[in-house]
Amino acid sequence: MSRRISRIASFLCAVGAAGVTQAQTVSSTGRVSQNTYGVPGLIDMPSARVQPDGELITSLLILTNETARAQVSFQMTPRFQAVFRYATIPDFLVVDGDLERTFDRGFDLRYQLFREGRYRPAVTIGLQDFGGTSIYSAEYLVASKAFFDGRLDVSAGIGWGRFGTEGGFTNPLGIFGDSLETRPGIDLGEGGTPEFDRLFRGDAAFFGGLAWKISDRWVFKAEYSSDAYEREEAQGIFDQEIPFNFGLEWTPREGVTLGAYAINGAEVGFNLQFALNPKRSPNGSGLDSAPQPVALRPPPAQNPDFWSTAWTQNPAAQNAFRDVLSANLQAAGLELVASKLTADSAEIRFRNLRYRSQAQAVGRAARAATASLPGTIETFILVPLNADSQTGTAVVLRRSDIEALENAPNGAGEIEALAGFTDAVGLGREGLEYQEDAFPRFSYRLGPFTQYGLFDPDAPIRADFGVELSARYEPLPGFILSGAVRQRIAGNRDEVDRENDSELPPVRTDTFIFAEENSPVVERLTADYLFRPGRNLYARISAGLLERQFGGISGELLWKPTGSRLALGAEVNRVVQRDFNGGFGFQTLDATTYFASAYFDHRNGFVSQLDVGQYLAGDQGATYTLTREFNNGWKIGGYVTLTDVTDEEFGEGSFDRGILLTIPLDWALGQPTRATGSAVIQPILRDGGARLRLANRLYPAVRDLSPPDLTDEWGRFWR
Amino acid sequence: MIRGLTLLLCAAALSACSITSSNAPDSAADLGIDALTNIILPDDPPPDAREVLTPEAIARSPTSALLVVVEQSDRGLSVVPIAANRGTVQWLDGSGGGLFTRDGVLVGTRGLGFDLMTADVAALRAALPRGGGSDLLRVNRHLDGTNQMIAERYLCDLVSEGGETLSFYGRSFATTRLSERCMPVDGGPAFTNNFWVERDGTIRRSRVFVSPEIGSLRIDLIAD
Repeated sequence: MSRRISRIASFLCAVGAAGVTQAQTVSSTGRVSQNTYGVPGLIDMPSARVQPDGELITSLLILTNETARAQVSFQMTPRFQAVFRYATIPDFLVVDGDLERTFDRGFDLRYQLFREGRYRPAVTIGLQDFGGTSIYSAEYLVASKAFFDGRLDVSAGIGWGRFGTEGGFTNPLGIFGDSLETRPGIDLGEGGTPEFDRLFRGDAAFFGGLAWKISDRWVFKAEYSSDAYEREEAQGIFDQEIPFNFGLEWTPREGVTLGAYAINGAEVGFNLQFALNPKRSPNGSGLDSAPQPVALRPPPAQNPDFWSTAWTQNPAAQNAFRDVLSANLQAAGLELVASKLTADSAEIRFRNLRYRSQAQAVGRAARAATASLPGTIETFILVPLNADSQTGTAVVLRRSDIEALENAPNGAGEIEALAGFTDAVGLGREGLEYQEDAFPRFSYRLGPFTQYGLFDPDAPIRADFGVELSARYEPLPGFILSGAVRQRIAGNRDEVDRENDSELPPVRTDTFIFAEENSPVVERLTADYLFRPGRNLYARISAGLLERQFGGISGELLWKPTGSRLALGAEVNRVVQRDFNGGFGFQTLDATTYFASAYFDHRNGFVSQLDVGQYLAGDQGATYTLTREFNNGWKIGGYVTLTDVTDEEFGEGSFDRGILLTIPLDWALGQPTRATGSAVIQPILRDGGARLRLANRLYPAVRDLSPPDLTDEWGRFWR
Repeated sequence: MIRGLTLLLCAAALSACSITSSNAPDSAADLGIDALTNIILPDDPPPDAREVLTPEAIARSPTSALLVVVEQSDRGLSVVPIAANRGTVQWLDGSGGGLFTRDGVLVGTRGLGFDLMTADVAALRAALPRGGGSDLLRVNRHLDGTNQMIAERYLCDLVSEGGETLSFYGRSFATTRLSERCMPVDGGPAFTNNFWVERDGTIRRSRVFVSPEIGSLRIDLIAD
């Protein structure tokens, strides 16, 4: 096995580890068998099956001729599946008369047209590798029907492109026009442009096969394959004997499948799959400890002092209550920042650095308040703040309701119905007392960092490891000085051995030069001011070394009303490229970027974002991002950016697009934390459609401070 | 391979000296490394309550206490009451987990993972003193994988299964054993709970289903 393949394998093992840990607790998941392309199917051929909604499956195929395919498939909706594939084929690409190993990225899309009925088979249409350089490009329509209580699954279909090469016949779709009978040649070009003029064209062929479930752990598969491996044959790396494939799959534990296959009598293939699903948390609702109970008020007759309002005239007594409140919030993992106490109400502004779910933080704050405040205070106005001291929505609760509903069977639903939600800006600041130790606020961290780069043909995964010292100083609410210094210890992100052939200003293609620095670098050093200019409005002004490659000034305004699914934003940045050495100097390349953004929560698990404006290289265009968001914090999305640069100016890939992934660590660990693991998988990093990497854009930072996000996990209020 | 190992060691060495102010937000890198370290070098589990409890210690207990055995993982823990609100008693164990009971019937768990958030057992509580009943509505609520509250309704029959003498920690209790057989109305698994009830109505022991992942808890009232 080549070193490259082993690198891919190690990456997959790391990705799959989460799947393994999860597997211990999940029994019946409805997952179906996959093929070697990472979609439901037989061996090389697809089936019409779909995975359970949200299923995320990572798979790796290795053939004995050193072909390898790493694939991640995601069941975006119950019927729609998207697949990202990274493949490598040896001795395939002709370069200066020699044959070289090729690396190829591809996307598949599949849609199940019909679900299986009593007599009707399930039917699925699929586009395989329609966005890449098309080595594996194929289209298919396939039907599947289960027999013997699902133990036998039979599939048959018709394929085009690669799946129309064995036993092919004139395209039956030719009745709609002769042009459909020929498939245009592959235009390798810059790659990346979806080649719609090739879809469902050229010869078609039938395929089919069966999967027999021998036991819960073993599956036997046999298929007639309509893939003749024509191009591999031509390059002399495949020698087809028969058009049949056979295989055996073993599931040693839930979520892990191993397969071995005889492919066309020519090669042997091995497949490894890891499955996980954001909807199946390995720790259920979490292992966090039980909350402090609600403290009940004694009847006035029993304890008249507790119900006295004399404290309102006594600043020392007020401060004593504040101290108790602060201690009780601290015990719940929350920080009291400011409060306003009157005879019958308490406004409590607290910072939540522990719970990813703001609803859970509000619930814990409410309980802490019952244990801290005098009996006459009946109204709690709870205002969660984000890490930058920003307010969003105030949650107004009656203390009597908290007392009455703590253990009610439908307590979470009932308390939500009784809660009031209002923009915290409307509360005003009069009478608000900040805690003495709330500001200035200083925090720091010295610890490890990693940084990675993907899909360089010479090394599919590049990474740097090192130490980072970061610090943050907030003298006044929302006014923040922060920065980070990094020292690389090991890594290979600088080893890129490619000419920068960009025809655009090199706003991102110099990334590997930035990575070459072996002395400490200032990763970021900024002054930020975040504030609420008015109801429904959020604002940010930043200046300094905004990111590793650019420094300058940045301003942003966001309109996001309480409870609204729509938010609108505007952002302007004026920046200059920083010196490669990571010091305080600048180079000559400068840029002005501006964007108008719209964010829309579809309330069906999907969130859209549209950004229109000017990018770093001076190109103008738009980015559309569609994200499947799970209420537990998982986010899986994709974006595409189209600007006014031509394919040639853009270079390899033709336009910018990528996959976004966010995994909440509380989901994986079972302990409450707001930390997440995030990744942006960008097939190729070019200069067109590039944006600044700001650390604190407003929408993601303030979203969960107001409904709908604030109430999405309201079930955790009493958790 | 050697290079990979070196990197892993570097990362481990770095994590050991990761220094953070107490008010800093959690770092994903630190948490990830902690979790890996914990997989490789796991902490000693807390001692099982069954190994620690003695008749003498129980006799000296100033409060009520329950011995809870998570049957699926065979883990024993003891819990004591920390609060009561409108008839529901909250019990806490040393590691922060907890239970809720109402008239001795389990109505919630915390800290187990796949917890029972609440249970509406009004019909069962009314039927227990009568020694039986049929079509008793039970509503179990839990949070699903995306933190949505799921309410599962069950219709249960409560049947007396005769007398049984329980003995634990040097004491014996004459009880009547009842079984609560629950069938799902709208999804969820069928299950059977058992209650061992003394003549005065005290539930001395129960065995109650929490969730498919956790299984059932056996709960003994070891100190009144």
